[in-house]
Order: sequence, then structure tokens, then C-alpha cells
Amino acid sequence: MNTQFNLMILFVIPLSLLWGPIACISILLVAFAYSIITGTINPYTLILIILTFPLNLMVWKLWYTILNRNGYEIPNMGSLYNIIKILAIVLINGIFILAIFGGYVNSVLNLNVFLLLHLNLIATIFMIYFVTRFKIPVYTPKMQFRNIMPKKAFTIVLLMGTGLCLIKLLSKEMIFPMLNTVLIILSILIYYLKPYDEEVFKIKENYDLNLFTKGTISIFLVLFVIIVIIQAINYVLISATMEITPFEAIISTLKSANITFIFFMVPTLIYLYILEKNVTSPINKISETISKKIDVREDYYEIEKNLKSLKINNEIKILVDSMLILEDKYLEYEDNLMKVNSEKEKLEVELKLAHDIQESMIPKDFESFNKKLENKFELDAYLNAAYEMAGNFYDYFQIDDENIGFVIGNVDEIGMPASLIMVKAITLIQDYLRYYKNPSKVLYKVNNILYEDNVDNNGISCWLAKLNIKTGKLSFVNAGHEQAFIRRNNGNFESMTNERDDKLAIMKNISFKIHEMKLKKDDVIFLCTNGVTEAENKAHEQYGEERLMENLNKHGNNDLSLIIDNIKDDLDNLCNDNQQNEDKTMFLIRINKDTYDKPNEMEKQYERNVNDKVKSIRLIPELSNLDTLNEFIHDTLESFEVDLIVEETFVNIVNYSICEYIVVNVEYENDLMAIEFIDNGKMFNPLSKEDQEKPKTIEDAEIGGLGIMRIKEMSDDLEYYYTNGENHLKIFKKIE
Amino acid sequence: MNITKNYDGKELTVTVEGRVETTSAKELENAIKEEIGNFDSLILDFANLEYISSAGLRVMLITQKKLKGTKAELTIKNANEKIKKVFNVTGFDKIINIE
Repeated sequence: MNTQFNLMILFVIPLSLLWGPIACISILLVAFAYSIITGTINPYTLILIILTFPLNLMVWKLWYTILNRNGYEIPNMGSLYNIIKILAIVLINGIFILAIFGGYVNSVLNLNVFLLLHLNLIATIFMIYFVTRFKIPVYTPKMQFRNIMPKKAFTIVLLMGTGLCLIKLLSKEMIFPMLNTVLIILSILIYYLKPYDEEVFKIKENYDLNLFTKGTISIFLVLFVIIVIIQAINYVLISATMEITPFEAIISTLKSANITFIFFMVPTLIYLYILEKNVTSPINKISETISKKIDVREDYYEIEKNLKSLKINNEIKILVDSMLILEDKYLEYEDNLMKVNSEKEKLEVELKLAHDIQESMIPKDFESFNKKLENKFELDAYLNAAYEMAGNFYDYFQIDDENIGFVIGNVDEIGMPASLIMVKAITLIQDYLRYYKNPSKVLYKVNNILYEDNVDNNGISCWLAKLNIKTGKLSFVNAGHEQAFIRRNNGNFESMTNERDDKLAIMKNISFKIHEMKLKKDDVIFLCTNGVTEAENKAHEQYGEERLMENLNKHGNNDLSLIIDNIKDDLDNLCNDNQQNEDKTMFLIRINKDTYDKPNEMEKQYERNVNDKVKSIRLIPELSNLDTLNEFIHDTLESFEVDLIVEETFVNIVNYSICEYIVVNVEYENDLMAIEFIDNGKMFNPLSKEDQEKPKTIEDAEIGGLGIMRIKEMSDDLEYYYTNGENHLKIFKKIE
Repeated sequence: MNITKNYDGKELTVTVEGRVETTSAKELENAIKEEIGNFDSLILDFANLEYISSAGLRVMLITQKKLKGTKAELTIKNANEKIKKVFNVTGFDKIINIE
């Protein structure tokens, strides 16, 4: 054996430990090649080379089969236990090498074996350090062995082999030295067949060792290297004066390095032990414990139990105590948070519902409304609330066969409070306009009601109109709202009037001026809220009426929805840098068909209904015509009760209806008399009038006003409807 | 409509014949009004009355209210069933004495 080969042997153990079979086969092949090249091959070296294979592989096998208290890991120095494990493996391996080669190789080698082993250990520590540091992959067991005997039996074989080694090393004279060696080798080979625990195959390559241990070992290695270098320099200097060869100097250096290593190793290990026991392990345990999920109180108690079980009494203890307090507070906080969250969620759901309800109050199905009214006009609108709930509103609805109503408005508030007021306003306006027909009167009434309920003194601006779709007559009222714009004769948009009355809900009993105009084909009316005209960007530049007009005029001929889209885009262009905090609403209506007055249409209508069985008379509403009417009725039938009914009805219409004509149709068939009164006076439904009580004393009895009651009592059935501006009252009377 | 007045002492009998309707009620009202104060008892004979409307009833009511302050009494006599029904329907039968 020569020196180069010896030096190569320096790395046999670390290489085998880290890369197992691959490393062992490589070493075997290199050794072979080397012997052949140097011509040193002979039976002894051959045996030596072959024998190194099981011995080397044993190191790797031992790492993955013994002392696996902490579970399986790749070779590392992450804990004191692992360092001791490495020491133990090298020691066992050393014993076997000594025992096997002790009797067969020359004495120089024999002496050097221990030295080489020790150097191997140092090399191992360095190599493991570098493997961990640079995350170099290692070779872990891949192949499982069949279970030929109990696992304990393999351990016994190993112990027996170790025993044989010790006997051979301690006794000067062996009886059967050859047999002993064979048995030792055999024990290694048998042990090699030991099956692995299944866990070995799930090893995680964990290179992230804890900082304390890593740092300590680094320092240890650096110090060791420094001292060895100093010693080496020392020996080189000595070699010059003492006349020894550089090789001898190196050997001397290595020998002293061994001693240095032991000097450093022992205190380091003690230090690591203390560190691990008091700091590293408790911290690892704590971090493992608190990284568990805490969902319920029970989890917390479990963690508390685990942390309290740590037997330490230093700063870590203080940390643990503080951590427990923190965990407790965290739990409390989480409980609170959950409560707050669920309440918030509930609120959000409610707000969403309120939003949906409000949304459903604002009509959006323009198409079907336009269609329903035979596309005599079209309308379109847009409402964009700045917050979940809108304070802007618009509405459109049919009042009767001839009239539609539409309204736009704004509550001087935003969000929820505004939306509540808005809902009330929109409901009242629609109801009242259907009932009173007169926008001015409607706002008078609505104003008084809103005034009574006004808590925050918030005004409500509102623009309300009634449009007769037959005649094109538009009556509108402006209660403090933005002015409306109209486009006539395909010209430019212009203000309809800049007059405006006070806002609603501010003062009581105020009157609202009614404006009237006649709309023609292609007229377009544009309405909006102040959210549109007063929209502004970050520089407080307002959109303004001028820019609005410009945009409207540019697109006046387009579809209504396109007009709205263009303004929307223009608004976005201006205000895209600013958060919207005002509701924006627009409303457009365009007259599609020419309107015309057609008074004669109505006459035609009832004439159409008149057939052979029906007799008809048209009268001027004067009391003196009662005789004419009576004569007309008597042509068909003379009946006390019919006369009573006819007289009461006729007198009522003459006195109260303010009409231009009264048409009476009479039909008598199968003992049933049907008399229809048609008048173009103000709408009056006698059926809706409450029955008066019959007077009990002369004081109770009022002069007049009994007519309607008598009609009801004396007839058998009554029908009433209002259409085309005419009251139709049909009275049925059975004749006995 | 025909109105005939007949005094028997302080008792005035007014016979009303034909139809009392809106157009003729005023005539009946005036006829009674000019006699008020001259009688203690007013008898309206409706034996030949064919028809009375609410305008006629209104005359009865006005008369009754005027007589309330005096001791004079109003009585309706010989009304046929149809006339009685009209009084009935309006509740006047409770206020005015009908024989």
C-alpha cells in the first residue's frame, strides 16, 4: 500500500455514509484500477480491496438501521444525538476494520488504521457539513429486503460480530484466527440483509438544521481548521530544520490534528448538549405545538398542556408563559371577531335585501310600458346610486286611459335615510297623481305629508308631470328640482322654464305653480338630478349644464338609451379619478306620434254600441229636459221605480257633473230594464260613495243628498266605468 | 200635478194629484209655504198621487222642519203602496207621520 492510496482511504467512510452502494462500488473500482495501473495487484491487495466493500457499505446500512430514535433523516449533524450516532457508527466500523485487517496486513498499516479512522471521522464531519450547507443530494435506501428472520436477530448478529472483533483485538493469541475473521465478515454480510423500517423510504431531505447547532458546528470546524493549519505550518517549519520528509510532516500534522479534534470535540459536544436541552429542543417543541390549528377552546387546552409539560426553568419558560397569555387573548379576540363578523354579515344581507326591494320599486321595463301605450311615445331612464341605497328616484306610470305621469326627484341626503324618504315620496306621488290628476295639487298634499315626517329638515326636490297621450298636453310642476330641457322641431335642447318652486318637506301649505305646454311629434324632454350636473373630478371641475347641453345636442337624434350612454361616458371621462358620492339619475321621453284632439271620436264610440234593441237619446244637461227624458223612457216602459231611478240619476248628473251632454241608452228585454247614463263631466263613481244612513229624526235628515242612496236601493245592479273622458253608469232594474 | 187646498177649521187638507218630480216640486213647496201659520194640522192627501221623487220628499222635509217650531202637525194620508215604499226606502216614514 502506498501513501496515495492511504490518503484516498481518508474519504471512504464519509463517501460511503452519504452515498452508500454507489460510493462503495466506485471505491472498489477505483481501488482495482489503481492497483492494476501501479502494478501493485497481488492476492493480498485483492482480498483487501474486496473486503473493503462490505465494510464500507456497513457504514451506510448502520445509519439507516440503528439508533433511529428521532425518526429517519439523511446523515446530518442537526442534533447532538445525530453527532453521537455518527461517532458510534464510525467506532463500530473502526472496530470491524481493525479486527479484520489486524492480522493480515503489515504493521505499518495496522498502526495507521486507527489514525485513518479518526481522520475519516473528521472528514465525515466536514463532508456532512458541506452536504447540508450546499444541499447536495445523498443516496437513501431504495430497495427493501425480505424479512427472513426477526429484526432483533440481525441486531444480535451485529453484536456477535462486534464481540468477535473485540475478542480478536484484545487477545494476543487466537485459536482459530481465520475462522474468527470469516465469522466477522459473515456477520456483516448477514446484517446487510436486515430489512428497513418502512419509514426509511419516506425520508424527507431536510437540510434546514437549527441555527444554534449549525452555528456551533461551523465555529467548531473553522477553529479546528485554523489550528490544524497552524500546526501544519509549524510541522513544515520543523521539517526544514529537523530534516524530516514533507510526508512525515503531513502524517505528524494529521496525528496532532486528531488530538486537537478530541480537544475541541468534547467541549463542543457538552455545549451542544446544554444548548439542545435548554434552548433548541424546547423551542422546537414550542414551535411545533403552536403551529397547530386552534379552532376551539379544546385545541387551546391541548396546547397549554403540551407547553406546560416542558421541563425548563429559564428565559424560555417566560416566553412560554407569555405565549400562553397571547393564545388566550387570541382566542378571546377570535370569539369577538366571529361575533362582529356574523353581525356584519347579517347587516350586509339585510342591506342587500333592502337594495333589491328599492330597486324593484323603480320601474325599468320601458319597452313594455311603451308598447302598452302603443308606442305613442318612448321613454328611458337611468339611475346609478352612489351607495347601496339610492336617494334619487324616478317613476312613470299610467294614470288612466289618456294620461301618464312621470317624475324625477332627489332627496337631500344619501344612503339609507335618503332611500327611506325616497320610497315614501315615490309612493305618495304615484298614488296621489292617480287620484287627484293635478300635479300641483299632488305636490301640495305630498309636501304637507313629507313636511310632517321630516326629521332632519332634508328637502326633496321633485319634477312631476302629467302627459295626456291623446292630446299631447303636458302639465308639470317643479319643486326645487334641476330645470328640465326640451328639444323641439329637431333643434337644440333648451330650458323648459327656469321657474322653480320650493323643495318639498321644508315648508307647509305652499303651492306649486303648474306649467302647461303641448308636445308634438319628435319632442324630447330630458330630466336629470344634480348628481349629473354637479358631478366633479378631483380638481373640483363640475360637469355643468353647458357640457351637458353640448352632449345632448350632439346626440339628440339618437335612441334614448344611446343619449343616456353618451352622457354616462362623458361623465366617466370627467370624473374617472374621483369617487362617486352622489346618485345620478336621468330620464328621457320622446313623443313618437302626432297628437290630436278628437272630440267626435267619443260620440262615434257609443253610437257604435247602439243596436236595434237599444234606444238612445242625447240631452243637454238642463233640469227642464227631465220631461223629455221621462217621455223617452215611457216609450219603452212606465214604471214608478224606473222613473225614480232615472230622475235621481239625471238630476244628479245635471247638478254635479258639469258636463256638455248626457246620453241615455235604454234596453228592455226579458223583464230587465238597462239604463245607461253617459256624460263627459268630471269623473264620479257613485259606487265608491259610502252609503248614507237613513235619518232617524228630523234633525238628522238633510235636505238633498239622498238621491244616490235611492238609486242604489231601488236598482238591482249598478255598473260604473270611466273611459275616454266619460262617466258610464249602467243601471239594471227587474220589472215585475 | 194638481194641487187642491181645503180648510176644515184649522185643519188644512192639501190634495196632490199626478206627479211630483224635480220640475214640479217647487210649485208644491210654494203652495204649502204660503199657508204656514194658518193651520194647526196639515194633511197631505196622496190618494191620487202617481209619483214622487226625492225633490218631492225634499218638500216634505222642508215643511216638517218648518213646522217643528210650531204646534202644527203634518200627516200624510191615503198614500199608495209604491209611494209608501219610497218613504220607507229613504227612512222618511220614521220622521213623517203617515196614515
